[in-house]
Amino acid sequence: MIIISRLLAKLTGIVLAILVIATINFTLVHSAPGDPASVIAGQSGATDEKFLADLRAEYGLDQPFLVQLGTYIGKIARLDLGYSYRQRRPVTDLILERLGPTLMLTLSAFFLSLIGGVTCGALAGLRHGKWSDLAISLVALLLYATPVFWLGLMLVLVFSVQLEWLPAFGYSDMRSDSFGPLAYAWDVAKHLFLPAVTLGAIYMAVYTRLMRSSLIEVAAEDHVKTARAKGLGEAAILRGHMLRNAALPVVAFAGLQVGAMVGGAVVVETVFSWPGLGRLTFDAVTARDYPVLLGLFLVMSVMVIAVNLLTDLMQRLIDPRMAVN
Amino acid sequence: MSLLSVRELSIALPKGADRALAVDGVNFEIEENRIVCLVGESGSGKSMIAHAILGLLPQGVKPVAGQIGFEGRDLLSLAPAEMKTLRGAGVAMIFQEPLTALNPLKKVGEQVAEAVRIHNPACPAATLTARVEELFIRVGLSDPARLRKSFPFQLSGGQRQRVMIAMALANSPKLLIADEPTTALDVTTQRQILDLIKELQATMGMGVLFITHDIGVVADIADRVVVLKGGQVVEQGDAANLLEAPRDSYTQMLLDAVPGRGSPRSGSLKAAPLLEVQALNKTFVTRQGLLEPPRRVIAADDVQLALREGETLAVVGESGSGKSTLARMVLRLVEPDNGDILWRGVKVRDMNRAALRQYRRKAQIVFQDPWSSLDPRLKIGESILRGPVAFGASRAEAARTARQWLERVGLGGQAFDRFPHEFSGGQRQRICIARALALDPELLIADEAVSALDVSVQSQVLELLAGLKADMGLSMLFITHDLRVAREIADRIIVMQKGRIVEQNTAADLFGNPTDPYTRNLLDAVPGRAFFDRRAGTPILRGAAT
Amino acid sequence: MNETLRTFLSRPAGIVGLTILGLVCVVALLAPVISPGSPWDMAGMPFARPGEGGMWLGSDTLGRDVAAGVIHGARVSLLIGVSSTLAALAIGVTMGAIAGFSGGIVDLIIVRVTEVFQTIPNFVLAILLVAILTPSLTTIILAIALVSWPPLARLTRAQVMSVSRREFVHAARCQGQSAVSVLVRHVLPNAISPIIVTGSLTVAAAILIEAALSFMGLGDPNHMSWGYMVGAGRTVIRQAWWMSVFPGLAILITVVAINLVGEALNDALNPRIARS
Repeated sequence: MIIISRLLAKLTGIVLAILVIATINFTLVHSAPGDPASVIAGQSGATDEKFLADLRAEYGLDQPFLVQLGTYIGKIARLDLGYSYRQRRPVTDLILERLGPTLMLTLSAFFLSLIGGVTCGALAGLRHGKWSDLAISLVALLLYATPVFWLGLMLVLVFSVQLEWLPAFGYSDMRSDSFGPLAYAWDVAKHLFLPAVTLGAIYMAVYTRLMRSSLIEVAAEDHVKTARAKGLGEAAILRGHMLRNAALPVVAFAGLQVGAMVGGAVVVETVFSWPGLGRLTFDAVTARDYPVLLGLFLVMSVMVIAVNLLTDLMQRLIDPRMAVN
Repeated sequence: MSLLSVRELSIALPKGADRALAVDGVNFEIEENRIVCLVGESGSGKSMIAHAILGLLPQGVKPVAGQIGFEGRDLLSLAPAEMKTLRGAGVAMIFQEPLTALNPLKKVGEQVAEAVRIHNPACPAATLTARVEELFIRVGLSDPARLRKSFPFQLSGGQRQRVMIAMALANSPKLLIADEPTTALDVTTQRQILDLIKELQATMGMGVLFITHDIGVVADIADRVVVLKGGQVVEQGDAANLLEAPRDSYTQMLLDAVPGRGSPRSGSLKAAPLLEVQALNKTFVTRQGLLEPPRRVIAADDVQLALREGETLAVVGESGSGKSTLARMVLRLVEPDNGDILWRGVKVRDMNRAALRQYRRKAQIVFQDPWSSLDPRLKIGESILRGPVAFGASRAEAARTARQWLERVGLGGQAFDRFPHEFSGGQRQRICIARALALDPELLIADEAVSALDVSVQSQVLELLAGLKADMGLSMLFITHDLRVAREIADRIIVMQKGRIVEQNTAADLFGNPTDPYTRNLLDAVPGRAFFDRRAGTPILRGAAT
Repeated sequence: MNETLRTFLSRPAGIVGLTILGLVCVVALLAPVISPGSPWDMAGMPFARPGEGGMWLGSDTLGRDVAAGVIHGARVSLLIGVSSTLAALAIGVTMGAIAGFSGGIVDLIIVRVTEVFQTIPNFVLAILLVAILTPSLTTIILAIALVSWPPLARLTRAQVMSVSRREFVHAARCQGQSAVSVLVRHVLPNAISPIIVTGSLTVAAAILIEAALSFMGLGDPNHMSWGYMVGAGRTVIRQAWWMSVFPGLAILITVVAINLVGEALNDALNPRIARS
C-alpha cells in the first residue's frame, strides 16, 4: 500500500513538473514582444499573413488564455511539440534523432564526475591538511570557477591543436560503416572523450569539495570510533564505515545538479559540435527557431526528471532509512 | 595481580584549551571480575581515561606520562598493530549514545558479526550467524533472527545499547569499558541496561570500567569507586566504605547534591486554582508528501490538571510522554487541538493578542537547553531588559531591573554587558531565570530547567528556585524526567506516559504509596534508590516491588 | 561584528580573494579612463598577436583590442552578477521566509514549486527566456534571477524554520515582544549568515551563466562581455588562441576571487569555527 501511494506521489510529482514547464513555455510565448503566432512561426514565416492566420487557428490563439493552454497541453500529451518552419520538420523528429548523443554525453559526464569526485574528495579528506589535500582542493577550487565552454576550448587547444591526440569536433570521422561496429564505437569514444571530460570536470570539482568535507565530518562520527574500538584496521574502517556514509550527501546533491549539468551539456555540445540537443539548441538560438527551443526545454526537463529517478534509486540503495522509511 | 593498572597517567590537552592537562597523575587498578566506577562531573577527565586505554583519544589529545598496564604490557607504548588485535578482543568498549555509535547504514547483525570476524577471520558464515544470534539472546534481545537484519534506526534506544553490548561481548573480553552507557536512555531503560551489565559481568567474570556522572548509578553497580575532579583523583576505595563514609569533601558534596533526599512534601494547599487545564488534547501530524499517509503522535490525551496559587506542581515522564508539549501548550506556544486552559478562570485559548501578552507576562518559562535559550547575538542585559521594555518600562528603568535580577540570581551586575558564550551552562540557566523573573510573573514554568546541568550546579539552581519561590510567592509548574528532582521541589506530582496522566498525587503519597504500575516502575528504576534510602535512614523512596 | 571581521581577515584566502575582487572592481569602474573609447572600435590590424601593434593582449578577427574588451567586459560581468543576485535574493528570501513562517499548505506549495524550478535545466530556461524576450541587460538579469532563486529559497526556509524553533525565540515571544520585533531582531539576524554566504557564491554562479549566455550569442549586443569574446574567438582557436584565452582567464580569476571571499565569509560568520 505504502509503495503504491509512494509511486503515485512520484507520478503526480512528474506530471506536476511537466504541467509547470508547459505553463512556463506557454506564458513565455505570450509574453514575447509581438504576436504569439509569429513567435511560433519563428522568423521564417513572420511576413506571410495567411500562414500566420492558419497558425492562429491551429493553436486556437483567438480563444481565451486557459483554453489555449489546454490546447497546448493536449498537443504535448500527444507528443506533438509543434513544427519547425525553419527546418521544415516536426520538432519531435528533430529532437528524437539528437537525443542519443546528448544522453551519451550527459550520462558519461555524470558518472565520470561522480566517481572522480568521490575518489578525489575521499583522498583529500583522508589526507586532511597534508599537501595532497591542498593540491586537490586548489585544483577543485580553480575548476569550480572555470567557465565550462572555456575549459572545453583550452582542452581542444592542448589535446587537439598542440598534441594532436584527440579529435576536436564532431561525433565521428567515419563516413561509411564499412569499418565494422567496433572501429566505429572506438571512433565515437575518441570524439566523446574531450566533451565528456570537459562537462564532467566542472562537476567533479563540485563533488570533490563536497566529498572532502563530508568525509572529514564522517571521520569524526561516533560509529567510526566504535569500528576502531572493535579492532578494525583503518583501511577496513574506510571501506566499511566511512565511504558509503560520506558519499550519501554527494549522491543526493548530484541528483540536484542534473538539471545544471544538462544546461552545461548545451554549452559543451556547442564547443565540440557534438550533434546532440545542445547543438540543436545553439542552432535554434542562432536562427531564433522558437518552436524548437520550446520543445527542447520540455524534453530536457523530462530528461532531468528521468535521471533524477535514477539518483533517487541510487540513494535508496545506499541509505536503508530512505528505502524503508 | 590486577587486570588493569593505571599508573601516574597524565593526558595533555591541545594548546589553547582551558587547562594544560585533562588528566593529571591518575592511579587506580581494576581487579578481575570487579566493577570499578570512575565518577565525576563534566570536565573531570573521566572519559579521557577510558579513551586512553584503547588508544582512542581525539586528535591533539595525548598521554604524556604514566603507564596503563594490561596483561603485563603497557598499552601506551603498544604498536598500532598490537593495539588493533587487543581492541574488541581483550578489551571492549561501549559508548554513551547508541544511536550515533552504530553505523546507520549497516544492519546491526552485520555490525556484530564484523566484531567476531575481525578476530576470527576463518569463521564460516553459518557459525557466524549462529554466534550473532547467540549474542543477541545473551543480551536479552528477543527474536534475534529478525532483529539482526534491522537497521539501527528501526530499534529503540535500549535495543541499540543492547546491540552495542552484544558487539562488545563478541570475543569474550577480559575488560569492558562502559563510557556513560545509560546517560542517553530513559530511566526505566537505564535500569534494564544496568542490570544487564551487572549480570553479564558476574556470569562472564569480566572486569568492568564504568564511567558515570551519576552517583546513584555508582551506588547500584560499583565494587570500587574512583572519584575524579579536574583531572585528579580526589578519593578512591571500596564502594561500600567510600559511599557510606566519604573522606573527601568533594565526594561528600556529590553525595549531598543528589536531589530528592529529604522527606517529600505532603501538605495540600487550599488556595484558589491559578491555572487549570481541562480535557486537553493534542496530536502531532507530520505530512511527508501530498499523498503519503501522515504520521501521528499523541502528545496530550485528555489531560486534566489544576495548579493552586503558591503551589509547585511537577510533571514527570520519560521521553515522548508529552510533558514538554504540555508546558508549551499552557503558554500557547503550541496550540492544542481541543480542551481548555484557564488562567484565574479566564480561557487562555480565547484571549486576543493583547490579553495573551498580559497573560504571558504573568506566566514565564525557563527552558531546558541553556545553550539555545539565549540569543547568541545579544548581550545578557539586552536579552533581559527587552521584556520590561516591551511592557512600557523605559530603557534605564528596565536596565536597572535587569541588573537587580542578575545580582539576585548570583551573577552580579557585571554580567550585564557580556555575551552568552562567556557563561557556563549553570550561569546561563541563572540568566534565563533572571530574564523570566524580570517581568514579575506569578507562575514560573520550568521545562527540564536543570536537566542539562551537573549535579552540583543542579542543586544550586534548585536551591535558587526554592529561595525565589519563597520570597516572591511564585507558583511553579516544573517539568522533569527525574523523579528525584520532582521530589526535591514539588508539592504535588503528576506522572505522564504517552500523553496521558497515569497518576497525580501529593509528593508524599506518590512516593509512599504509588498506585499506578507505571509510577512503580519509574520509582524502582531510580538509580541508587536502595542506597539513598539507607542513607536517609528511612525507606521513603519505596516502590511496590518491595 | 568585530570578531567576524577579525576572523575574516585572519584567512589568507579571504584576503587574496578580496584583493583580486577589489582590483576587478577598480578596473570595471575606471574602464573609460584606463581604456578610453569603445571596445567595439577597430584598434589595429586583425589577428595581431599579443604585444603586436601596441595591443598587449593582441586583437581579434576584426582588429578590435582584446585588452580593451577584457577591461570593459568587467563592467557587464559585475553588474549582471550583482544585480541578478540581488533579484534572486529578493525572490528566494521572500519565498523561503513565507514558506518557513507559515508552514502547512502554503509551505507545501512553495516547496513543490521550488523543487520543480530546481529540477528543470536552469541554463536552458535562461536561454529560452533571453531568446524569446530578446537579449538586453534587463532580460539577462531577469533570466538569471529566475533560474537562481530556488537554492536561496530552500536555504532561507530551512534557516527560518530552524531558528524559529530555537528556544530563545520562544522566550522572546513570552517576553511580550511583538511578532515583528521577534522576526526582525531575533530570527533574521540569526538566520542570515548562511544566506549571505550563499548569496556571495550566487554572484559567482551568475557571472558564469552570463558568460555562457553571451558565448551562445545571447549577450546584450550593446555591451562588450567576456563570454561574447570567447565565443567570437572559438572558431579561430587554431590560428589565434589569445582571443579566447584572455577573456576566459578574466572570468576564471573573478569567479575564483568571489568564491574565496565567500568561503572566508563562511568561516567568519560560522560561530562554530570562529570560536575555536
